[in-house]
Amino acid sequence: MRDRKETAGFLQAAEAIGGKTGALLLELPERFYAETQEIGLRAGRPVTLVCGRDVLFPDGRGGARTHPVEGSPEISAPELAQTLHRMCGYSVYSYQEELREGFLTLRGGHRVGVAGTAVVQQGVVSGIREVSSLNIRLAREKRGCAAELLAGMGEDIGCGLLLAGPPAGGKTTLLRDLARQLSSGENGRPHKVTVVDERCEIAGSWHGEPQNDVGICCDVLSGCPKAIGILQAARSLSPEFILCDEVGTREEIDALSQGVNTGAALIATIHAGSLRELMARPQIVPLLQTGAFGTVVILGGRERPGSIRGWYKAGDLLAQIAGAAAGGSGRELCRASGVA
Amino acid sequence: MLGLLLVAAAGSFAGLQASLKLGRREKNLELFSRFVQNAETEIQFSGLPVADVVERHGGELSFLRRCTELCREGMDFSGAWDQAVHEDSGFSGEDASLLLEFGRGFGATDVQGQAAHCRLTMELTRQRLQDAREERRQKARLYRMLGVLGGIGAALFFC
Repeated sequence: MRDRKETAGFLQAAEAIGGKTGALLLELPERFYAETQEIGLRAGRPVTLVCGRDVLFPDGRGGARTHPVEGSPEISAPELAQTLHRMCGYSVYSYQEELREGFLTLRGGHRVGVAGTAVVQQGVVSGIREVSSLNIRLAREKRGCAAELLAGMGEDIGCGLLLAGPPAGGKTTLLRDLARQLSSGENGRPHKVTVVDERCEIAGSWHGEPQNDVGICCDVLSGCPKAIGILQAARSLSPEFILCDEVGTREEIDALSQGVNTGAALIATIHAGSLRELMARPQIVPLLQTGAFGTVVILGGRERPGSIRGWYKAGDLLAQIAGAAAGGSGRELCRASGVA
Repeated sequence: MLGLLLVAAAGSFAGLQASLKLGRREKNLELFSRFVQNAETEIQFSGLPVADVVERHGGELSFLRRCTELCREGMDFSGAWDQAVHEDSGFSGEDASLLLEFGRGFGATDVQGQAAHCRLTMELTRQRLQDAREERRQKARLYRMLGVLGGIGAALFFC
């Protein structure tokens, strides 16, 4: 028998999907409840489950296969539209702002990515019509997964931390546990933490209540753009730590530069599968030059979500970048950093 | 003699019921139109979910009260709306189709889409309301008369 917490997310998602697709998911063996990371619903195509590196197809007979078989259950376009309608509590207009950004959050903090035909008005996406797919990403809490990181950082955590990892590499899970441990005082005294949760993935707030445990002294700015939220948090919430996911735009870098001098330490994530990829990203130099991050940590891949592959001082990386720009290349930089 | 009086009274009562039903339909359509208007305003200004809109503004219509009850019992909104409409006898068959159609689109789009959906439903309801008023004007008295005369006729037949 698995831990109820491990299976609750899958059950919540199946309930939110409802109809015959929800019933199909509930017919699966219990091991899938804990292993499934994402559920994919695409109009006119088979239902998919992402479990680790595998994409599986429920066969409608209580199992799932690596390839669809004849009769693999599909979801039709009207059913998909009805599913989205149900997920929105039959009130799509209540989720208008989130849908404009291409997602919505379910009870339990699970994020539903929505794809379809964009409605563009005056050059801005104002909504989505003719929904063609829904990708339900199950929120997972791995309590304690940030312990190694916190132990390794020690007092340096107060100088800021940039977590780099590939998609589905556990960046958000790690960030969530960092928020929880810091604000609950698991590594000492409780710290005041503010999470700027633009896409409602970290705290997974649903109807104003965080669905994931982000600790007792944590304030959450849900749905707030990071560039605004970082400054707003610094101005009005006096946090010791500000956490946010996936930084990189010009506005966000500017906000980070201003946030550095407010006394709050910044912890953020960025997409990059390796140090080489990180260094190839054009925004890494301005990001590190903000002085917001004392340490850069490279996380493991999809096969080991949340694991740490390497630690780097931001100053060292900047020096290496400057050296590489002066006479070397990216390849030399990675050799110097000991990364293949 | 008492039996004959009862037969005559039963006929009159049936006529009266048919006449009252026409009035009830008209009243219900008026209330539904007002509900749709309130729903449009609520959606535009508060973004309240549909189940809460029905609970807040649907107290005067029995099918909306029933819909709220079913939602509280755990039924999803779409099923609750359909069942409540099917169970209600205060509307004609065509009116019920209009209500079901409204339920299918209620909450299914963004604010702009909902405003358009509500306005279209209000317009269609207004047309049905005109029909209902005309029907009541033409038939209410007729039904009452038919009921009374039918009852008397039946009493005379048995006599």
